[in-house]
Amino acid sequence: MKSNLRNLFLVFLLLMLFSSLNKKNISAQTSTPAPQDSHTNEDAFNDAFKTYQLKIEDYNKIHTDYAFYRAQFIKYRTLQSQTDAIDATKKMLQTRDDVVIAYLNVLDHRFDFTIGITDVDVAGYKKQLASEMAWFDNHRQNVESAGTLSDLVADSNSANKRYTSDTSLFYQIASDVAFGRLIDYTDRTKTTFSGLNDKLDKIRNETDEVYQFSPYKFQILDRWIFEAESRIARNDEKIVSIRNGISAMLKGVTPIGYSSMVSTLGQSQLYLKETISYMKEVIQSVKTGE
Amino acid sequence: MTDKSTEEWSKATQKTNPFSDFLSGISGAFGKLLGKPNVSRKNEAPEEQFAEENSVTEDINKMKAGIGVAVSKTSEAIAPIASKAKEQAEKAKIQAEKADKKVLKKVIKIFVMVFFLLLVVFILVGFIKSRPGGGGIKPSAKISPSLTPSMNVTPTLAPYVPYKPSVYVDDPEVLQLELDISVLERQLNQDNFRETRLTPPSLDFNLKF
Repeated sequence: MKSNLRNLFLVFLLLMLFSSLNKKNISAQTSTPAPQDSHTNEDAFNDAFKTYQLKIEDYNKIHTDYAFYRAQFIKYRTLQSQTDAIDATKKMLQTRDDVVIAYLNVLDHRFDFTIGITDVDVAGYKKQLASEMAWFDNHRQNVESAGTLSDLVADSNSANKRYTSDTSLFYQIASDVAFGRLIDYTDRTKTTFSGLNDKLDKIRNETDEVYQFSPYKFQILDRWIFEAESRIARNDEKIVSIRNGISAMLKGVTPIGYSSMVSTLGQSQLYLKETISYMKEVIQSVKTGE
Repeated sequence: MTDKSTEEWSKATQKTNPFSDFLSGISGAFGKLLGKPNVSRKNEAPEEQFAEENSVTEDINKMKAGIGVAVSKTSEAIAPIASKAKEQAEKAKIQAEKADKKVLKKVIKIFVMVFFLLLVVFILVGFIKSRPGGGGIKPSAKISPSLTPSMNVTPTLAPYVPYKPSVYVDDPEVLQLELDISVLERQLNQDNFRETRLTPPSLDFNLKF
């Protein structure tokens, strides 16, 4: 009886082994090549941004606790309430540092897919961001050793000083990233405009009558070209003022200053749009016969 | 004077007559005013007084009877006339009510007729207007009613100019330039230069205990 049971068990075990091997073989046959790593720089930025948002959520929760224990301590001034307040404040300061580090990380990742900014500028910004990240990380660790509320207040004040001075850098980066895009658009517009001018010159120099345009048509085309050229010149003026504004941001900038910068960028964008509309007119005219 | 009359007199004197009392009172008052001594008539000879009063009552009774007869006669004479007048007044009232109802009915009929007429006219006008060129008022006439028919400006379509492509319509350079411009335009239209995701976080740095 026992030997029968043992045999049955062995058969069952063999069947199990066989089926698992078979499965492995089948999966090996049907497996497709692993997808390529499509994690782009923009995805990395998005991930960093998500982490930053989560840190902000944590900070908001912990800040609520801190506000509660702070109020308790101010009201009762007991030893227990003091201990609770110290713990809550420590947590709050550390989470606050985490938020700043996560934000700096987002800024750092933003440079990985910017356009129109020179590598030298990007390297300079990245260096500054790394330095700030290191400072806030160090500050985060130092908070743990604080034993009294006055020590924590001092720690917080030092972080405040650092963060306030960094605000200019933050707005400068945000402005420069947008400005880089504007520079890219401007360059492309100028390149296209130059190509259009070259094409018109070719047509003008055509000797074959079939490929020639009448002087009247050229008058119209020259009119559009002149309008486009004047808009490009206006855009160049705006670019100079934006560049000066970004350089001045290092001295200190407010959210209003940043909004003003964005407004100037919008004006420049408008000039580029007008240039493009005139170039479209030229193309349409070239494609239409007389 | 007989015994009966004396008895009656005694009864009359015992039962004071209020009317005679009233008259004696008035005469007394007049006497006082004239400075005459107040002499009650009771003190006069009872026979004379009784005879006088008896005649007065008789006169009054006669007068009452006469008046009663006159009243009954007049009422008998007036009764048919009054009933007739009453009937006539009732008839006139009924007639007036009937006349009022008739007028009201007529007014309602007129209103209903006018309403239906207006409705029909409105529907007809709408129908005529909705017809294409069916006599409706033209917009041009609405805008400038002072214009004479010869001066009416009729809108005319722009002359159709067929698209005539040039020799450069399929030129690769021109097509490339057109593509570059369209791509640039789309990107520029979509771009908002405000970096909303890079806005610094608002944190609480105001630590005080």
